Amino acid sequence: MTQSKDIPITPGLKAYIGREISRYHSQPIALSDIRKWAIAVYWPETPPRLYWDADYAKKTRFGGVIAPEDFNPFGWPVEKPKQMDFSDIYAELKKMGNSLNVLNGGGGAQFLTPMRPGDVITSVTIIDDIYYRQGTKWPMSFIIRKTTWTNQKDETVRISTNTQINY
Amino acid sequence: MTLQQEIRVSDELKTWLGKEAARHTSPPVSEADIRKCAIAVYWPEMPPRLYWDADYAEKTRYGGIVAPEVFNPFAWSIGIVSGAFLPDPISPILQRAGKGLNWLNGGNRDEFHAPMRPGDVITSVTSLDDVHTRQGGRFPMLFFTKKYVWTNHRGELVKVSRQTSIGVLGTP
Repeated sequence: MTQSKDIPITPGLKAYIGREISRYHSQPIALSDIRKWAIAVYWPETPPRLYWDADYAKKTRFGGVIAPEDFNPFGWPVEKPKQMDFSDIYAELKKMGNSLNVLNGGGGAQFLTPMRPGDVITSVTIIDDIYYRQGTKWPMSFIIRKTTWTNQKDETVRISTNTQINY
Repeated sequence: MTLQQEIRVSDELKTWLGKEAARHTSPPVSEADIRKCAIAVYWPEMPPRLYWDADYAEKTRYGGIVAPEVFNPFAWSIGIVSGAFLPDPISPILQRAGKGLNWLNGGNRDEFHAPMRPGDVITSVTSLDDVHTRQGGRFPMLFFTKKYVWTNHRGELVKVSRQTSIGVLGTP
């Protein structure tokens, strides 16, 4: 097996690093959105009261109902959100002789401020990094996307990263 | 035509006629609940703005967002397995009375009154509206009708539903 090594990327690709590629705003989160999510997550058990019983939740360290960490406030929009357009990036990858076969390179998430009823969440995705590496058989490009969710008080709710591998 | 067999309506069942058998209270209806119901009902079209756009709905004769008539405020309640079938004590009695019968859906009738709005808390009262037997062309039949009366937290009548089931003594 040959040793992996980094391959310099084109200025065109480099220009994408740090660029915002999508921004969405959620509808206000309803108490019932959280309750339904919790019912689904804990089915067929009764979900923890923290997720649906306002009186109980008020007495906890959270001071009220919060959403499970994996709650998605962007579900069920009236208008379908515009999909991210990667065509320009793909054109640059092609310039580097890359095929567009895709692998999911995994991801990670940090959960910070909990989501609560009434919160309006803004999701901003940027291209956090792009780099090339020589695989055993082919060169591979790695595109790292970072998505940051903030609430209407500008508190960071969640930061997630996702790696897309093209080879 | 002779009546080959008879279906007896038990006294236990008759005692429930017209009586409140169950009472369920919904969680408060949220704008999001209404929006999701409207998206589902009108999928893949965009639902009418009356169901999700507060500014638009305010200028209509409704004065605000209302729910589609088919909206079920009891769905996804904690402790109620299915909002479509609110539990009541009549059902087990009917199951016993209906042993050996083949069942048909006798249809539903719904009356819609005050529209449901965000913030509404709906109470449903279940009762046994009617139970009787009738001789069919070939088999005796048992008819029973459950009534669900929904009111909102202001005491306004929202909906009256009647569901009829028909038990047939014999194999059609």
